[in-house]
Amino acid sequence: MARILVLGAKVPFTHGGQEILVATLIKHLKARGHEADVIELPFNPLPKQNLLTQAAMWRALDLEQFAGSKIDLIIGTKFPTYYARHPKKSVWLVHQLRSLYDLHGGCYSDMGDDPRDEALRRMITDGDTVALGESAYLSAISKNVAERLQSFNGLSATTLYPPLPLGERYQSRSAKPYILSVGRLCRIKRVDLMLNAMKNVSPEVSLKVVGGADEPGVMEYFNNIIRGHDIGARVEFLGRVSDEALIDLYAEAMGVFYAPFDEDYGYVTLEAMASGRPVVTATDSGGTLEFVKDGENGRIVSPDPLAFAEAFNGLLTDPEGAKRMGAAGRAFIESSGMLSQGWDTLIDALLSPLAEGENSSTNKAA
Amino acid sequence: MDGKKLRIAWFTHLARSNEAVASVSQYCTDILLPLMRGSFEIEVFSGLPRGTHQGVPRHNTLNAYQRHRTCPFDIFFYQIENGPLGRAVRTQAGMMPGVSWMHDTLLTDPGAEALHTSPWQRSVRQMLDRSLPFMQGNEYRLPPPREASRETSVSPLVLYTSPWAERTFSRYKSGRYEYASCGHWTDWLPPPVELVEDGRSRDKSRPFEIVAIGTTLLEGRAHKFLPALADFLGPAHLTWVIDPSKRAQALLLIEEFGVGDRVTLVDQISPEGWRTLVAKSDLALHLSTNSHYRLSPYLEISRAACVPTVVMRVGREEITSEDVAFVIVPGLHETAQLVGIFEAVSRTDSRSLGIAGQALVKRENDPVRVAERLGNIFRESAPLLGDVMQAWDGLYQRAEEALLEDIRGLVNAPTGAMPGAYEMIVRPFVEDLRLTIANAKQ
Repeated sequence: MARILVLGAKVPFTHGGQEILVATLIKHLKARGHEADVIELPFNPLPKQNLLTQAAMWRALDLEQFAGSKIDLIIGTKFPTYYARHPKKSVWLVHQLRSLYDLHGGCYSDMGDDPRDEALRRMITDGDTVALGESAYLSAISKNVAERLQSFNGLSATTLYPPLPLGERYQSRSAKPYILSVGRLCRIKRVDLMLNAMKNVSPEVSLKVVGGADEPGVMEYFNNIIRGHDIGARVEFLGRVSDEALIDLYAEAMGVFYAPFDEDYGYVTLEAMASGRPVVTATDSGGTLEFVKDGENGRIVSPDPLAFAEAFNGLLTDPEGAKRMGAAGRAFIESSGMLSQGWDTLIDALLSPLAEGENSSTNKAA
Repeated sequence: MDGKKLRIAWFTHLARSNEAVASVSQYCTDILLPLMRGSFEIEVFSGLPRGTHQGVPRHNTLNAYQRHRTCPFDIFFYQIENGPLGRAVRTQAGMMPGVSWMHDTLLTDPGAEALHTSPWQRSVRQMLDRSLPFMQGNEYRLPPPREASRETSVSPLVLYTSPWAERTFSRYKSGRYEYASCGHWTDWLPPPVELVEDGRSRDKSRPFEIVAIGTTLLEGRAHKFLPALADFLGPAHLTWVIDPSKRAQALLLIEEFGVGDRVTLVDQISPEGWRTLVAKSDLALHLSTNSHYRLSPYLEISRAACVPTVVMRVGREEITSEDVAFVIVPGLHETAQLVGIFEAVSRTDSRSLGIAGQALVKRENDPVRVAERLGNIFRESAPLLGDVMQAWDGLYQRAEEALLEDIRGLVNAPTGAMPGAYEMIVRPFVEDLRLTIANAKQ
């Protein structure tokens, strides 16, 4: 059995997919008899000059041994954890610093064209190519993330989809007239699309929003939209909820709204499918499009409030169609290994550098 | 020149193979590259991963600096267009000087706020004045620029798609920098357009086929051409090409004017798609071109198909002559003017009304001529751009050192990580990185 460190970058007071991914990975490593622990450093995107410092700090860590005991393998996850050095470094890439890559030049990036910003981008891009390129095993959580890595850094990565965090526990019950939105509340998740759609969604339908505010001013922005459309009575912000409450919310939703901009992967899509709910997503939502098939297990519409309103009204007026789409989503999840059976393959892949080491030792001995 | 082929970094949008997108830069690239790749050493930069396109190397736009570092270019050539498709190129065009070809001049796409309010004028001045320090604090944010000012200011040479566009839009000079070595100049380069084979049916009993491309916004004039279609008494059918995000609004307008049985909506199509569509049509409506900042080739493609076109006259400097198009004047009688045109064209062999427009395209948009013209522009501007490119590279070296100074200030500050942390952690990291890159380059 191996001693393994999973590396995480923690933004204090936030909780999202990366935290879930690290926690479940460690749980499943331990379940297979490995000694696994997490190393986290705080991640602060501001001021942006310090991004380089944070990469340097991970680079400076000695993770080969602790108190005389050897660490067999480290698993990097997202920027800047993969800057850590180790002869057996696996990377399961959640994402790079997207404001320097696919979001650069768009409304979700704070990088300007001051030559110092560009110098910073160039140094981190070069650094990423070096740090990720030296990995003994390089994988990504979705095709979308793997494609970005190929596009921007010229590196090939295997796609390893994370199985669902709540495994077999998702349930499906009779639909009630509410739309569910799950995810951190920040601009790139685009909950405002759904809020703006609500004025055109049939009035008996409400919107339940799960997730904590993750950006300054985002709740004021949402509340302005709600006041403007006079939909306060139909929108409920639930904050972060327990696993049990989340299972219940998914189980009875008439449909799930999930339309972030170019999402890396998106647990929400798959959780909704596991709960037999149709997912409505947008044509530019990235990773979600690897799973949602328009008209089969959900709807894919243009990122326009009216289009979302039409899609949800369609689910309301055609409950049989909605049920059929939900069932198709559930069938896909059951056949894909994402409930929990996928962990064996995934962990074998992440730990493959250990086997290579054994082989190479054997070869040397021979 | 020493006889070596000029190296051109050719920035353009390129679609993934399964996408059909309305990208003007891709359209122009696909026509011009085969005509120019023999005379120049061209590498294409787009949002796609590295590979090849039309037989030339292809890289991602964000890796342009790496390619330039490894094998320097003589000219960065940018095709600027509005919308998300054009974002990556626009971003680069504001950072590295070159030649910019404007397919659009009103850049409404909400790119990074940090770019809208960026201090690009200062950067251009810093390039030639090494003593000018980098900005601090509030200096960093400036008011958003006017029409494409940022994208037309860093590049010493800006190309527009017609003399009219050059005359009209080059007057927006706020922040434009006159480079010491070469000044700042403009020129015009029309989009390349191949003639389109006539696909119109000879069946006299078929309905009168109209195509329109535009938006549901006021300048698209749907609130005029839809009632005109309703008032037109003969059998007619309209194919309206529209941005898919505006489909719902388009359907509301169609319902409002009661023409649902005579209109087909088509999602925004590529110039190639427009060629196919317009070839089967009797009349093409281009009511939001020219004065509305879209300088794209759709109008020219309609003319290349010998299809009569309808355009708007907006302002005194409108380019379109009545010899080559039906020109309508906006206002109260706009719908009546359109009905009159529908009636006139539907009674005639529409090919005869498109001949003058087609002749204009033959004269101005012939792809071989456009490629020759662009090649000459490259050859004439390369010697002038050389100094600018070198000075710009120098600016980035200074910027890197300024960035590290900023970081040292932050890390070593009393509230920072720890005294000396910069020297112990950051500087060795950067030096190691530089060494690795240098070794990789060798």
